[in-house]
Amino acid sequence: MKKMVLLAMALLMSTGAASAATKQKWTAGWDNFGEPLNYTKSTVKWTVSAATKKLTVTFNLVGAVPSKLYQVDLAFFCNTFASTFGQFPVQGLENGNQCQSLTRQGVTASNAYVEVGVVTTDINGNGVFAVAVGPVASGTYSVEFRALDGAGCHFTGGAGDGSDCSVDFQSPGPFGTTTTITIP
Amino acid sequence: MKKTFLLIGALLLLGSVASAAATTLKWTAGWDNFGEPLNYKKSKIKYSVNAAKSTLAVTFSLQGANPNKLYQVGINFFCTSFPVTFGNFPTDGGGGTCPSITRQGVTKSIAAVELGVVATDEHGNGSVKVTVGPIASGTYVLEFQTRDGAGCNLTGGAGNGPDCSDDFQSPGPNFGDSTTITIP
Repeated sequence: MKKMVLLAMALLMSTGAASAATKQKWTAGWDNFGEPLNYTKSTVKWTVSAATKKLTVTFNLVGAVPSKLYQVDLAFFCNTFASTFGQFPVQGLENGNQCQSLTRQGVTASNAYVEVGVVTTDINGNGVFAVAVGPVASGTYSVEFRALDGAGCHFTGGAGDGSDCSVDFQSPGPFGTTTTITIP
Repeated sequence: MKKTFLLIGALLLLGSVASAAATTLKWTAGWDNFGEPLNYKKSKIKYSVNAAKSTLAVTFSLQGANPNKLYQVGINFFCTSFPVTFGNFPTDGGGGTCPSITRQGVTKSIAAVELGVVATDEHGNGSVKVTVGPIASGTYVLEFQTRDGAGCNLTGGAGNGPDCSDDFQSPGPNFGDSTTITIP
């Protein structure tokens, strides 16, 4: 009987998730503060797989504008940054690898950005997008997740680098309040 | 020993996904653009119907497309008339009588539903998973579609211009080649 229980536990563990996820709430801005969102139900969920050095992020918007595209990304707070983060190119670097200084909500900090996807909302203003980034270089990253006011910022095929680059939602926020992600 | 096997079987069943087996389709070149790069061997669409929830889950996967580009994905239904919505997504133009279009020498009446955006990485790879529902019971004859950008019939993207052109279709290879999905 003891063997059966152990076997059952092993099977359940093998079919379960690799590591525990962190779930965060969105806050308004840092550029736009009037975009609708159900802040109680909307979340960002992320997890790191130490074995594969992959960061998996699920961006979930509830009660946003219906039938709208929200590009989602990671804003790193940094002095210098590599040209890629996993399989995605890094945007906003100056003089090669220097992070760009920006002032928002009364705070000045230096950033680099990685655009990872788009949330498309349905008729209720709900949408979700999940992405796996990696392998990511080992290190400790200070980051805010963002949802932009459209799709095409630093991408081909969208609205371009205009007002769609404005930030509607950030997590954790406000500007400069970060979460730390460690890739072992 | 027999009990052990029964227990293992039950646990494996519990750990598996509840929905029906998935169908995988390949992409073919689009009915508008025929030169967009894609690894047609590795790129695919995977879909499954959950009969209990009346939902359709679709994963659009592109490999070897243009790097750092947005590709809007959706469904074209071949129809005479179509409802205002398909599950939680609006029908382009508001539904009603399906308009007739001619592509690749084939004339068909269609209704289109935009479901999401694939954002490619530096290798031209990307994917997006969408769950649609609850969907009205019926038999739907359709082709999956990838557009040449993001924003067609949606807010926040490139608008209703050349980004609406079709880069990839499935099943294809000709406009009007369809697959049938039944929602019980």
